[in-house]
This record gives sequence, structure tokens and C-alpha cells, in this order.
Amino acid sequence: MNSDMPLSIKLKKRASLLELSWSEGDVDQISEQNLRRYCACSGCRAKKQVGVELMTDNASVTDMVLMGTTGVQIKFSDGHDRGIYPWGYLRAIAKGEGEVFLND
Amino acid sequence: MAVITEQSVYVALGFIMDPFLQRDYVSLKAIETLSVVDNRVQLSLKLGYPAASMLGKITLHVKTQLQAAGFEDPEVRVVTDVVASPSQTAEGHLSGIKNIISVASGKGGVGKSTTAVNLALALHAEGASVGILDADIYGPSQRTMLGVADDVKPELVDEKYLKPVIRMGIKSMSVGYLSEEKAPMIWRGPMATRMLSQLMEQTIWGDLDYLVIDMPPGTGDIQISLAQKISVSGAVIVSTPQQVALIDARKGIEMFNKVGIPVLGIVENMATHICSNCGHEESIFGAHGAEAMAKEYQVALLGSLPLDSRIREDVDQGLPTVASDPTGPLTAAYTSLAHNVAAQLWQLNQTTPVSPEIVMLEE
Ligand SMILES: Nc1ncnc2c1ncn2[C@@H]1O[C@H](COP(=O)(O)OP(=O)(O)OP(=O)(O)O)[C@@H](O)[C@H]1O
Ligand SMILES: [Mg+2]
Ligand SMILES: [Zn+2]
Repeated sequence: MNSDMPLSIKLKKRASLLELSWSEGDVDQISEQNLRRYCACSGCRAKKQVGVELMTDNASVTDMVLMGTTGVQIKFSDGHDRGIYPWGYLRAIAKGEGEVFLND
Repeated sequence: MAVITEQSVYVALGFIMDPFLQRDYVSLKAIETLSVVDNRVQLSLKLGYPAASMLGKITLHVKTQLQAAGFEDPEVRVVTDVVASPSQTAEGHLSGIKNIISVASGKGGVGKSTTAVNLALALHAEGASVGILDADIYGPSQRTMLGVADDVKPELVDEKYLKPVIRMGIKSMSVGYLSEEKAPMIWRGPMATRMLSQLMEQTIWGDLDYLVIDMPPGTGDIQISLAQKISVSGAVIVSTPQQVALIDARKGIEMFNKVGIPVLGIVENMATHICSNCGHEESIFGAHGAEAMAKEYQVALLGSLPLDSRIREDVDQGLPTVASDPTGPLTAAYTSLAHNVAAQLWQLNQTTPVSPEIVMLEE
């Protein structure tokens, strides 16, 4: 019923990677850049709709806050903190299927 | 007489089913204490849902079952204690809230607000401490449904926090309580979410077993981000039996699934019509639509409410059916809904895995 939670979420600053370890034993990695790019808050989605590039694609992660059992809110160095990333969405981004996840 | 061991009692309890979950008390981890004194069973069961009106029945049921299994004159005690959801926050004014139940629907006008307020009152009547948040930015209705007079405003504390308005034993907060000057005319996406989560966080809820949220209609961005932002423990989907409503309810379930918010089940509202002349109950739009959908998505059918003008009249008058007719059959239906919702939450709260660890590494 509840999509599975990761065991841990690690931000590796030097490598600029977010690493998610899942209970099945597999590990997913997402670059900070992709994380920012895939922010699916209504503001960022609206920008994408009209084809406006995010000016802050290179923003790094400053903080992560668990949103209950459903996902994580990620705050970026550009001050943007609206995006909440459900676990399923993070998995999809790592697989390069973020777009698909949002659209169906 | 055979010597009784605790082990043999455990085995027997493994066959006694909880009436709302159809699961046995051992697997539900409901055994608080169990001992055998002078060859007599002494059992205390702890249930994770409020069930004041059912305690006698449940106690008797367990006793009878134990006797049937050969244990003479067992001493059975049943207590209830609502378990906190693992998704509950530990901060601020929300820290005393054990569970947040979101009452949502795909389509508008299917009876979310009516269901939400009666569910809240029924949970309270069964012994829980309950609050209700009217999050419907398009058309708040709880002021009317709870019979809160137009001039009543929530009391401001420290110029920043709001005391909920208490009616019929439940605490309430609503967008509709805010003064007209403060309530913006147009609420949009992120702004609406932010305002609502602020309204919720600035309310001094105190200790609550359940906070019921009357959601705005639809399953768009606002609804999703709101549900995520406020860490909903479980969602209850209200639908009417018409095809269009069912299709939208389906979208609602899929949306919650996608963002990982557990769906507790479906409530079928205005499902049947009871003929006022002969008392015959009849399905309005073909039966079992919601039931089939619940099966398909492996969620519970939590309750079914008839189309009955008394339900409408009662909320219109500010005294919902559960409060106005506490012993009537409609209230019994809402009480059963409350039991099912609370029991599903209990089960869920026991199974939800622990939160992931968040680590920020410099290297
Ligand atoms: N079981 C019922 N029997 C009769 N009338 C009902 C029943 N449930 C709800 N109603 C009536 O249907 C109307 C819509 O109900 P309600 O306002 O609860 O729906 P809603 O889903 O909250 O609507 P909205 O989407 O506008 O918020 C109200 O007039 C209400 O009194
Ligand atoms: Mg409503
Ligand atoms: Zn964003």
C-alpha cells in the first residue's frame, strides 16, 4: 500500500550525489543537478510547461526534511525549497524516468 | 482438569478475530498482558482504535471464544489506546497529534465535508480526542456544519497562534473562521498550500488521537502538495456510486498511491435510497461499484451511507446526524465507519517501516 521507503538517504557533497539505499539492497544515485532539475513543485512544473529554463540548475542541496513516510523535502542553495520528492519519484528520476512518472 | 499454559492460550488467541480487521489478536499484537493464575486465564487486550460502544461486546466475544477453546471462566479485560502514526511530526503544535486522516474525493459535492464531520464526531463519541481542519479553500463548510455562529472567531494567542473553536467536543479550525480581510480572495497553488499548512501549524491543537482534514475537492496539485506537506497518516476516499464519481475516485486513489500516502479505504456515500413510504432500501446507481473498486485497489470499503435527507438537514442546521441522533441507524453507520477507519489506521501504524536515515556527508 505504502510505496517502500529507503533505508537511508545520503548526500555526498564532494561527489555532488544523492544516494538512496533501498530495503531490497539496491542503491540509487541522483546528481544534485538532476535533483534540482526535477523539482516537481507547482512553480517549477509551470516553468517547464511554458519552456522556461531553470536558471539555477546547478544549485546544491542545503537541507533535507522527511515529509512523514511519503517522501523528502529538499532545500537548495538557490533558496528554493518547495519541492517534495515522493520515494517513487526519486526512484524514477534515478532510472531516468522522472518525466514519465510525472506525466502518467 | 488439565493444566493451562500461557502458550496454549496464545494458540487459542491466534484464532480469535478482531471484528473490524478480521485478523487475530496475536498477529495484531493486541495482547497487553497474559497470565495464568490458579489455572485461570487473566488476559488484557489493548486495541488501537476507540470503541467505547463495542467494548462490552468484544470482551464477551473473546471470553466466549476462550471458553469454547476449553479455558474455564477466563478473566478478560479490553482497553483501547490509539497508536500514533510513524508519519506524525515531533515539532510544534502538531506534535500532540497522533494521526492525521485526510478525507478526500476526486469529484466535488460527493459528501466529503458531511462525511468528515460525522466521522470526527463518531470517533469522539467512541472515546477519542478529535479535531477537524476545514482545508477547503474553495468553499469552507465546517462553520455551518458545526453550527459556529458568524461572529465567533478563533481566539488569538501571542498574536500568532490560534485556539481552535470547540463544538460538540471536537476542536475545529477552518479557513472560513479567518476574518474576511485576512482571507485572500484567490488562493493559488503554492500559496494555498503554504497558507493551509500555516493555519494548521499555528493552531494550538493540543493532544489529539485524530485530526480529520476536510480536503478541497479534486486531486490536483494543491491537494497533493497539501497532503504531503501536512504528513497525512492515511486517506479516506469518498465517492458516490455514479460512474463519473467512481472514475474520479479512482484517480484519487492512484494519486495518493503515487505520492506514497496510504489509502485507508473508500466510503460510498448516497449509495442507497430508503423509501420513506415502505422503508425499502434500494441502490440508486447500481450496487457494488465502490466495493469492486476497493477490491481492485486492495483497500477496504470503510462504510456505506444512504442518501437520506436527514443527513443533509442535520449538517445544514449545524448539528450533524451523529450529534443530533446519537442512537439512530444513520449514526450507527457513521460509527461503523469510524471503527473501520481507526482500525485500518491501527493496522497500518503497526506495519509502517521506520523512517529512513538522512545523512549529509562532506566527502
Ligand atoms: N448521505 C447523504 N444523504 C443526503 N444528503 C447528503 C449526504 N451526504 C451529503 N449530502 C448533501 O450533499 C451536499 C454535498 O455534501 P458535502 O458538502 O458534504 O460535499 P463535499 O464533497 O464536501 O462538497 P465540496 O466538494 O463542495 O466540498 C450537501 O448538501 C450535503 O448536505
Ligand atoms: Mg466540502
Ligand atoms: Zn520547485
